[in-house]
Amino acid sequence: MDSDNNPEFSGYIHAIARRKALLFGVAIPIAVLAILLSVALPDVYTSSALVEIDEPSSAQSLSETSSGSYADQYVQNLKGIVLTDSNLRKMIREHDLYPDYDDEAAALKRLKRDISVSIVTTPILDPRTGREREVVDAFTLSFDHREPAKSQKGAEWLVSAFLAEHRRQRQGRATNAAQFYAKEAERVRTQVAGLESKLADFKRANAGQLPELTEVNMSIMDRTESQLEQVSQQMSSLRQERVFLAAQLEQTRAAGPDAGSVRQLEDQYSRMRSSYDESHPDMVQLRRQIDSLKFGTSAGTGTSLRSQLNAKRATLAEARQRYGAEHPDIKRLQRDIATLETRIKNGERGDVEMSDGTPVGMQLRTQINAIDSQIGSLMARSAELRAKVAGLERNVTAAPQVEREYANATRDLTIAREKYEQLLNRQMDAEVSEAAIVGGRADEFRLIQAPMLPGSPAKPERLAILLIGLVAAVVLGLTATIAAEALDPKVRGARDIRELLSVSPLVAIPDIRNSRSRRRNAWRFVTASASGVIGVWIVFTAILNYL
Amino acid sequence: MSTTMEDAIRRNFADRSAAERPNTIESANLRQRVRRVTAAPAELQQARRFRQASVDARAMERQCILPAVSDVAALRAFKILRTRVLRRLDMHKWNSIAVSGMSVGEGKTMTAINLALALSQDVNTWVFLVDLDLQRPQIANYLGMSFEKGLSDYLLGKAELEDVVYNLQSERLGVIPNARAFQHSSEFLNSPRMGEFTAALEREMPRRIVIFDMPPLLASDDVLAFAPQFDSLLLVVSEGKSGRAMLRGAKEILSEMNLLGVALNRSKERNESAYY
Repeated sequence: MDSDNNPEFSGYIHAIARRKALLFGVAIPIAVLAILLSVALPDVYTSSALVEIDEPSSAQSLSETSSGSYADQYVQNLKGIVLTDSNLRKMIREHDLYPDYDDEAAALKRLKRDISVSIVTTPILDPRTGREREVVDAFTLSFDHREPAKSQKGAEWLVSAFLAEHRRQRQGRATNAAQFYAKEAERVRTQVAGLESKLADFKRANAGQLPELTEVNMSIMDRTESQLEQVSQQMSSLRQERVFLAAQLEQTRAAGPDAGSVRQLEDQYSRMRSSYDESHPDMVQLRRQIDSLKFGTSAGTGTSLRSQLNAKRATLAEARQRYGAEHPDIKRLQRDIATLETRIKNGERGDVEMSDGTPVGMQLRTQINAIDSQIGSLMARSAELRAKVAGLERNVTAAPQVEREYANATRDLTIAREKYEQLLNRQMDAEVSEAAIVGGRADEFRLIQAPMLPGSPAKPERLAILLIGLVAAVVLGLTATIAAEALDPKVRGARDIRELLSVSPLVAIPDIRNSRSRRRNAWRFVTASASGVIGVWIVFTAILNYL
Repeated sequence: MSTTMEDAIRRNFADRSAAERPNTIESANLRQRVRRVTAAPAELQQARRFRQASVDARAMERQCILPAVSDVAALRAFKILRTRVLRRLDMHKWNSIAVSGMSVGEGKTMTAINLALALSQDVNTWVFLVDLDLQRPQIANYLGMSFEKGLSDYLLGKAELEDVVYNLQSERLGVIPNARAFQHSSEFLNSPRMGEFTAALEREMPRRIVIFDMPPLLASDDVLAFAPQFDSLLLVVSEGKSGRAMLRGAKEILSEMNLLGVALNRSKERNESAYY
């Protein structure tokens, strides 16, 4: 024995030897209990079903509530709904599960213990995070019962209840969704109608200024402007023609008397004035010649009254230089001037229009008149075109402002329409999935393993109970012993005396056994074993009742 | 299996105690052999015979007094105790032993009586057993003795030594019982009459070993007060009864007197196997 020299170990051995009663008092009842349980526990059969939770493919509307990480929560929720007391009572009655339970509440409690719903998870590599995570992809429903047939029946009931409830839930949700989408679609539809009428009103109010008309407006404006240009070109050519015709008319007029010589003389006169005094006889003569040419032939005919007046005054001024005031010429000139002045004063202009007595003149005059009337009509046209351009310009200028409002209106409408379409789609989806659920074609829960009739009992693990019980008996017994030893404030054994007083005891007198102590010990043994038996029996029956 | 283990453990203990006191063994080897001095025949003839007292076997059985109880292990234990006590007394030339303990109920009186009986069985040993637990005199009860006068009468001067000593079975054992409890026990223990009493006991021929059954060490000052009157103290420690803290507290008091040894009472380490 290696531990011979180990005082600690021998101390423990002594402690155990001293406290045999405690050791056995703890260990034996536990061991007995374990043996009893391992022998007497009734067989329990377990029937279980595996239900897979499919990733919803068609029914997307439910995906957010019933897949992924919420699946376990959903299953728990479902469990809460299915395993209500009333449902369970129905189950007990249907299959007569616990005929030996008189109390329904107790049977219910028992049933709840026998039903187990557990989640099956699979570790997957999350493609998004790159980490491994658990995904709930199935759950098991199992039911324990002492009779194999009833355990299978119970498990079947559970499976059908879970599946039915799940289908009912989903259908309800799909119906709700469809109704909701229909209501929403109706709401959005009225919104769209309102927006459409608003847009129509807007278009009406801003007719011609709508951005879509801008190009048309621009091209019309371009055209009108080119028309305007044409008109102004026509007008300018007509004016030129008129000027030309007027010049021709003037020529025809001047071609009559010695218009050319008068001009010649006048040129000569102005040249000579620079070198001679006006009173120079050549100058006077030249002036007379001019005057005679001017007024002699055409006096009272071609010129206007004022020019006649001017000519008379010039002649008078010239005559006064040479003659006295009483000269009959001067007097005649003075009379003539007075007459002319009165005539001018009276508003007479004399025969202003030059005599176009010639046929060519007449023709020219007619042409000029025609051109004048053409010009008049062209001017009216140009004014009209200008007004049109101005209107178009206004429209084009207003277009950006209108465009903004228009864009707002159309955008709102587009959005509302899109929303409307989406809602309609969703409504249709929901209706389709509802139909699919009703038809049972879109079940997310798939029964993979139906409950089977269990062939051998699942519980109890007799050998395990026995082994665990025996080990526990030893461990707890030793623990109790060591704890009692550690907590004991009293002197125990020769060691203590050596430790405390540094002397070994002379002798160890044993507990002397007289009749009294024997009786006492016997009595103790009897009471201890009786209480042990009673305790074991109580615990044993309690466990049996619980299971 | 268990036998060998226990043997091993006992061996272990023996080794340990030897290892703790190597000097003692050393000096024991050097020391002169301790010879028992037997009483001279002349002394033996002087030996007084006191009056015989009857005992009640049932009372003795109840109180675990050995002749009445057939417990081989206990008997052997007291024989060992007797022999060791004798050797130590001889070694130190001590004559009187006070038997005391930590507290009430540790088996002081039982040990004192059994030791006295065991000693008296040795033909060369003469013993007086005195009930000095003046507050709670018990020896008479333990033995089921009926007597006329006890220690109290002697201390009060109502009797002489020969009136209060009773022979029990053997003439070598004289018991001085007490019937009356004293309130002020320590004063009585230091009284001159008590001095006379111990002197008278010592004068007796042949020389006797005197065993005083004393009250607990820590319950009163009796032991301390009486300490000058006895040679050595035998401490009774009861397993599962005496507190470790008490023992630790008593250590200082013990250092003031000659500790004859410690007797471990109610030991669970019963060694029946060593019977040969």
